[in-house]
Amino acid sequence: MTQLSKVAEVVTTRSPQAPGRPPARKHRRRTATRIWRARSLYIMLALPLLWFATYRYGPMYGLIVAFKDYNLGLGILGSPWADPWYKYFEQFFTSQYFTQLLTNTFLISLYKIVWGTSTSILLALLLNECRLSWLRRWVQTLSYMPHFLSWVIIFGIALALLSPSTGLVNRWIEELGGTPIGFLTSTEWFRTVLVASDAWKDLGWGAIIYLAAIVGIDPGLYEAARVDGAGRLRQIWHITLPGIRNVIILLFVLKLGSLLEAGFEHVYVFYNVQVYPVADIIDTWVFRTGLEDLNFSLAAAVGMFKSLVGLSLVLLANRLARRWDGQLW
Amino acid sequence: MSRLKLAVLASLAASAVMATSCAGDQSTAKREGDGERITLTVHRPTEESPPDNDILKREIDKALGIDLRLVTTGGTEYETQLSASLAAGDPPDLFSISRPMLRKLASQGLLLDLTEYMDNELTTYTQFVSPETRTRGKIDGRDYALASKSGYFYPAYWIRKDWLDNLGLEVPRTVDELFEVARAFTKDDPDGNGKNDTYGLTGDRGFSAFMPLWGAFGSGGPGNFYLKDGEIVNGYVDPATKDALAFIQKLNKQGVVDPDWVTNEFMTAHERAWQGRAGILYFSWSEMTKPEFVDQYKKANPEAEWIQMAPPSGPAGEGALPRDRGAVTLWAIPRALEKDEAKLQKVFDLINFVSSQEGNRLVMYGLEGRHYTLDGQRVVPTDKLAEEGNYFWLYQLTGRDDEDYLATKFAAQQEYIDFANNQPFIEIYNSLVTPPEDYNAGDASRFIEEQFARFVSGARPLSEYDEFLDTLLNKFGYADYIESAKEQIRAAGIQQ
Amino acid sequence: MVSTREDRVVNAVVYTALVLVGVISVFPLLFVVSASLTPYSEILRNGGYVVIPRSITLDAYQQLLSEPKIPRALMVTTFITVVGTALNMVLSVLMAYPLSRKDLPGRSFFLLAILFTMLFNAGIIPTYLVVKATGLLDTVWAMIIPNAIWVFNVLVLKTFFERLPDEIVDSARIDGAGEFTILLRIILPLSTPVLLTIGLFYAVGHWNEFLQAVLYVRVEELQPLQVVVRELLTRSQSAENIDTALPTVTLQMAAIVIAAIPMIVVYPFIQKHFQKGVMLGSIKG
Repeated sequence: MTQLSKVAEVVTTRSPQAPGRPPARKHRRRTATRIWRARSLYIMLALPLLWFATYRYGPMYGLIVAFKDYNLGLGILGSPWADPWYKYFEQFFTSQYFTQLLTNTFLISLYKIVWGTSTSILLALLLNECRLSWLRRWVQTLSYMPHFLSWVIIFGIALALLSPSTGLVNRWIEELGGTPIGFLTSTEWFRTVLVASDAWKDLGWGAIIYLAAIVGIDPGLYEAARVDGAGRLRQIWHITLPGIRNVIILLFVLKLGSLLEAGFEHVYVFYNVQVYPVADIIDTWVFRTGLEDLNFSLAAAVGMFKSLVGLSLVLLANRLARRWDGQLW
Repeated sequence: MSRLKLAVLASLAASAVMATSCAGDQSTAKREGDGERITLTVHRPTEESPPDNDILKREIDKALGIDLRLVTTGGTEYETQLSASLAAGDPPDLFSISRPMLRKLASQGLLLDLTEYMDNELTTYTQFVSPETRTRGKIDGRDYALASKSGYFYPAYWIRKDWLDNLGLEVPRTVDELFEVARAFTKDDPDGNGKNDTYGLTGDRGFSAFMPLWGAFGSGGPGNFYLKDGEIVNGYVDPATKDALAFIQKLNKQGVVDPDWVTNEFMTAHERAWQGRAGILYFSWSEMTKPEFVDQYKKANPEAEWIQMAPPSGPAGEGALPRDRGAVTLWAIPRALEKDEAKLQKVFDLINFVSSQEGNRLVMYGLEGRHYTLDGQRVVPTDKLAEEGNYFWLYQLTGRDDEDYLATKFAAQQEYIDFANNQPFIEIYNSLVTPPEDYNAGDASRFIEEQFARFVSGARPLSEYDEFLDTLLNKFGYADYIESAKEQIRAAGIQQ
Repeated sequence: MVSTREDRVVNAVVYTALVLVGVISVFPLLFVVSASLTPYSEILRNGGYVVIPRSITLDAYQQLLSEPKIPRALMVTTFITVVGTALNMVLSVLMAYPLSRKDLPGRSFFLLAILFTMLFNAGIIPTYLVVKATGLLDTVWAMIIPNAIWVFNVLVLKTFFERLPDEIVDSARIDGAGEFTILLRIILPLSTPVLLTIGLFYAVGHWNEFLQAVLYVRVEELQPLQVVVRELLTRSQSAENIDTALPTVTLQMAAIVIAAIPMIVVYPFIQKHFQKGVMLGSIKG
């Protein structure tokens, strides 16, 4: 407690220049000193790193399955190399549907990122601006709840709303004199349904993290802005949004890393034969192709392709993010 | 406040202790076995699991001196888990497996070759199932799996009798009559509610609504392999399929089929029929006549009366349903058990036991005195059987004699059971076929499904069927698939 | 405080939008809750879902809670959630704090190394082999330890730690505080909102635990809630299991409600700590 207040004092007085930057000396010596000084930090890292080494890097050798004809009996290392080594990559790239799969995956995923992120940020801002605390509490809880419904259930709800024969929405359309629309079977509507249901499901869930970030903004900044005569919209634009910028960038960069994951379960539950041309994604293709006899090598090859794309995007995005000082490393 | 905290902490601690102690018990039990008893793990793919108070397990344990653990996993996770446990070298001692997986695992040397055991250690089993059933577990002439006894055929077309009566119509016997009835069901307000809210047929996304129609045109169904004039043919190549498709297209184009069938899951189709939205569907008798279901649809729709109807006849004569007698459960034993003779013997004991008269009766009807009484040789079920016996089928590893089983457990439904099983059939042999290695089943089946949906809905004219077939055969490698399939079916001794 | 015209307009827009969000969020949920309370025959009669049932029944809930599997699965899930989340939080904080320090030698390397594991998945079988080698198979720990750290959450934590002014750490160090003291006494108390957020993410993740349970735990007694719920949702009949009792829609929906309620009830308690300015305000005064 006393220490805390002491810190507070120090913070408020603010030292003009950060201390502890020693002038350049011999490189190796300096590194050694820096490492020694950070020893407590390494001690903290030890346990988590050990975990990563065991449970994440331990099985990583399994990636080579992508280049092998995996035989369960011979094991991962003992299985023969695929001939040619890119056999399973080739199977994926030469699929009749490859271009379509890639396009669908990219578009569905991109729309989901854009719509999901923007609606969540918007909701967080709205909640933050809400001065009726009961309304805020209720909406926050209600919008968080759909996250707990599985896609199967949401599909059931979607059918009840959108089915051309019994769906509520189509009943309204008919009453207004229109003709029913097969939202779930129409290639024009299907992606919209996917993206909207995704944004709906995670609206409040996605907003939590932005709310946590907004809470961390120094209230003094708002006070100063008010004194300067800034209205609420200007405060949002000049204080709130910049204040959560690095969190927005972080989430965006991480989502780019999984750009080629468009949500297997979601699509698999929702799609049907009539919308394959706009709905079939890489993961549903892998699932159907490997279904008969569990083709682990194919799954690994496709997984590696997706990861490599994700890795390049993350590296690129991180470089761009440096401009806004939002880089991950 | 602090009291609340305390209560929460206490309950958490309790749950922690419980969960860890559970874990402890289990792992020690697993390692040590139950004293002298050998633990057998049996793994089968289903969403259902045995209850905590598992009467059958206790009886089987007692009879064989083992500790039987039946593990169930649902969905696609089953095969993943099975593969992982095989890779890790601790597979279950007996597991259910699909035919493509059987071929793959056998070729990887992971399965025990049962050929030599079949006529020695496993005679009770071989006598229990028919020789034809036994061939379903063979790969290249060797026995790699134990096939379960094949059962009765359950599904049939069902039609709303009360709707027929309302409109003064007869049960349709030909495809043309079926079309007329379906049209009347759609347009003439069969339920008399003054609303245009009914359809002729409904079904699920698996094209089930049309299953009984292919036979009327002489086709065994799209994609199926069957004998025609002594030759093995594939349903897509058979010109009869195109004729049937023309009729099905007509049904859809005239709007007498519930358009939601494309998105319907099996249960959704079920519900839509019960809600009175359609008057004809293709379902198993069990889903239509078991009291709990009848009760439900009667409550929703008191006048509803569903009856079975034979597959309609057509240009090719009498109608027929495609039936695959080889679609049975296959059980494999890991090769690793070869070294553990005592355990292997217990696995054989288990298989023989559930195939013996005594054991099979146990897994069908439970305990004498509790679940059934004996009237001479006839089994008379008690109320307890319906109450506690819902899961017994999990232990029917090698199957059951459906004739006896259904007559005993579903005496009231006998008429429907016999009707469904005595329909005319076209035998199909899909279950004998494993796709060749370079055939991309995923791509081909997507292409087929997509184009078929378009043909059925009329979005693509049938004049383009030959073009479709050409693309399928050549671009998607289906021609090679057919060749390989024919060879496999011939190898199983189907065609002379 | 005097409210300006802009204030009133903003308030009107905000309240309208929030009410709208509330309505679209709650409406489909009503389907689920009322379906869990409506007798199945009435659901059928009404052509699918009902929003306001005419007759209400608690049968489904009674049936579910009287079956021993559900209460037991609830216990298992509670254990996984509580113990798992505690472990997650400790490990994540221990990892995120050093990584938030720009003066940590090798920081970029560590960050890239953990990010790599987020992008590249080793595959199910090799992971299974490691889980088996570490002796977790068929124990409750198999549902906790293999996912003890989520890279995503570590990176979020790290980013939030970085938002704290550097001066706080620097000045504490001048006062002679060690790293552990700085973390425990300064960083963590200032990070309540993000800690709660991350804790919630972890807890919900554990609560929804399914795949690891199915893959690594073949012991009936250790099945978590979602496995049991899934069993009820996907159970179907086929020729070999005509005897299976099929759960009605009412029962399925009740299972979903039971499975979701605890995590929903927890949320308002967490929200309390999301008041504006709780953190820096407390030290800057």
